[in-house]
Amino acid sequence: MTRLRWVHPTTTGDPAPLQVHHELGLFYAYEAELLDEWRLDEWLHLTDEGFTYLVPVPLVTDQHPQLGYDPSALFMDETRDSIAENWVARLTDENIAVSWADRPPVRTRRFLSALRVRSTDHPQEYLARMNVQASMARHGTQPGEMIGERFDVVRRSGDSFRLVSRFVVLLSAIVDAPRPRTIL
Amino acid sequence: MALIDTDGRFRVSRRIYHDPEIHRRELDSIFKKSWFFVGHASEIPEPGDYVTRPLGADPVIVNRDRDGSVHVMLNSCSHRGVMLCRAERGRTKAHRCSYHGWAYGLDGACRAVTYEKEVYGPDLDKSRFDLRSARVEVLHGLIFATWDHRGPSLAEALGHMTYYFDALFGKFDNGFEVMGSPVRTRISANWKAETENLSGDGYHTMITHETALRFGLFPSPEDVAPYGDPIGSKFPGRTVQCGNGHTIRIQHLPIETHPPGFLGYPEHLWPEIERNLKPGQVDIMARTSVTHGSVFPNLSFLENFKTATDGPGSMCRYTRLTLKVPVDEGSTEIWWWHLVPADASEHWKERSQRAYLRTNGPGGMFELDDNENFLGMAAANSGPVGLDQHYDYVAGTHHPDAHGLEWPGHVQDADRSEHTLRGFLTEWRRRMELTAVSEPAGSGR
Repeated sequence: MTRLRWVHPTTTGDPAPLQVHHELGLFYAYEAELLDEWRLDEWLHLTDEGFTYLVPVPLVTDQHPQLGYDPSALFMDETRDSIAENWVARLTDENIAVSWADRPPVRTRRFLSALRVRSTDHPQEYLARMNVQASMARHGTQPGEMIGERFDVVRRSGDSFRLVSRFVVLLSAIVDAPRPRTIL
Repeated sequence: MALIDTDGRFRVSRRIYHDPEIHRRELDSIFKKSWFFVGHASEIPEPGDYVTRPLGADPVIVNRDRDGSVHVMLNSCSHRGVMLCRAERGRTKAHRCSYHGWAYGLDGACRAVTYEKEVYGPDLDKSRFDLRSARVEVLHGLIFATWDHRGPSLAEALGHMTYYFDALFGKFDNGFEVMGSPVRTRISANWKAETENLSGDGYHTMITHETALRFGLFPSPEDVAPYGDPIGSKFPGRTVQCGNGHTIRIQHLPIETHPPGFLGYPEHLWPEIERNLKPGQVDIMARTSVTHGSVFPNLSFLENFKTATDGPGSMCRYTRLTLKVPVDEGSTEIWWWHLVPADASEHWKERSQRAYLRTNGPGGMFELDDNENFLGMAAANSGPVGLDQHYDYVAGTHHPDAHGLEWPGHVQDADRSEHTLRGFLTEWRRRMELTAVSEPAGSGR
């Protein structure tokens, strides 16, 4: 078995000030709007140059408490560059006609809750932890969903923030959403 | 019309994908009797390690015993049928039921019955209650099992596919290992849809995956020209019916390499590949663009070469196994394993993983567009008129057989073809014993 490689960021820092919680709540609402409207080119502007998006493989073990995932296995491993090159580019006028799975687009709605923000060793960076549910309707079908917990590292940038990294732990051991290739 | 009619053409009723009654027959005819892949030896390296898996369409425990052997048994207590292992992975000394506490050894033997003498008297023969065990064989680390204890051995069942399996999975001194636990996904499509595609459909690639082509995720002749002697712009492809429903498609880069170049693999592993394989197998693995195929009924393998999924020049390969487990006729659970050479560097393994996940992984771009086809086939053919239609699997029947290769089986010198799909479906028909069975009256056309 390969070694442990990917684990969620530790969440032991002090709670961030209420003002930061408020600002980040608005930031995430705006981010959800961009993602739900498939405005990924604009969404990229919310990410740091070195942004990484990791989703480990969900796993049910007999340990208690559950980690809930296998830290030696990934389901998604993307960067800002790979998303720009292989996700955003599919949605351009030039490519959309042959981006079969994006036409018609899957409709999504993201629901966020339980935002908790903690300080880190870096004064401009925070660890934001929250629940996320993405409901997805492919064509005319009943919505399916992906549910998980986000562990984000965000960095203050002017009067807003940039996403430094996102690590999402999925709830279900079986990925049965209509659109598994999704930024949760 | 028969469900599959090979009299003069290869005509297949759409019912075989969308009719619940036919699916029920599949469960008996195919999913109780075949050899099935259940996992990789590297997933359970230590005694007591177990994983829970499907064997055919039933849940099983796959565990390693104290002597190192692997046992596969029904994950169901012999007493009242409660599932014994509820986790997907773990380590244990025995399997104990949560209901009345019966316990089983790692070999599936019934070891302990709670309050035995009080409840059952002095003469209980516990061996009557051993777990239903499957027959197990391990080939190059791949664990196969079958419920059929009297049928052919794995080698007999694989037939000519063994030669290709040796090339794919036997080329490294220390074999492959898994990159962690498999992913499980579910799709609203029949299990045969993707299985047929992966059996060797090289016909869809440039259409379904056109965005990948535009983004440079397929190596171009120019990309690979520096690594050998260019032989033109065409990627030579062959498709093979190995017999017993097993198939493979092999496509090469448009270059020659002397000595053989196993592009994408770490160069320090190249000598052992050549040493471990026969010349014909070296010919498969050298200069490989992509090779994929299926082991009947529901295991598919894929080894792919990529040049740019982690930035320009990030040459790499990845090996994937997928298992398509039917939930019902219109829904399939798919298991996904990523394998890497055990002796590759950690850096190489992670590069291989990125290349895999972004393309042929369960959340990759290729799967995204492939799934549109499989979902569409299911959605468009469940009505009474759709069910009465058929497919003609005749693409490539005129293609010539390949000559001058040492490869066993029926090898055709082309890969934009349905040669492998016919191989898969011919075995499906044989196993379903359909040759003499016609469709219900009034449903033909």
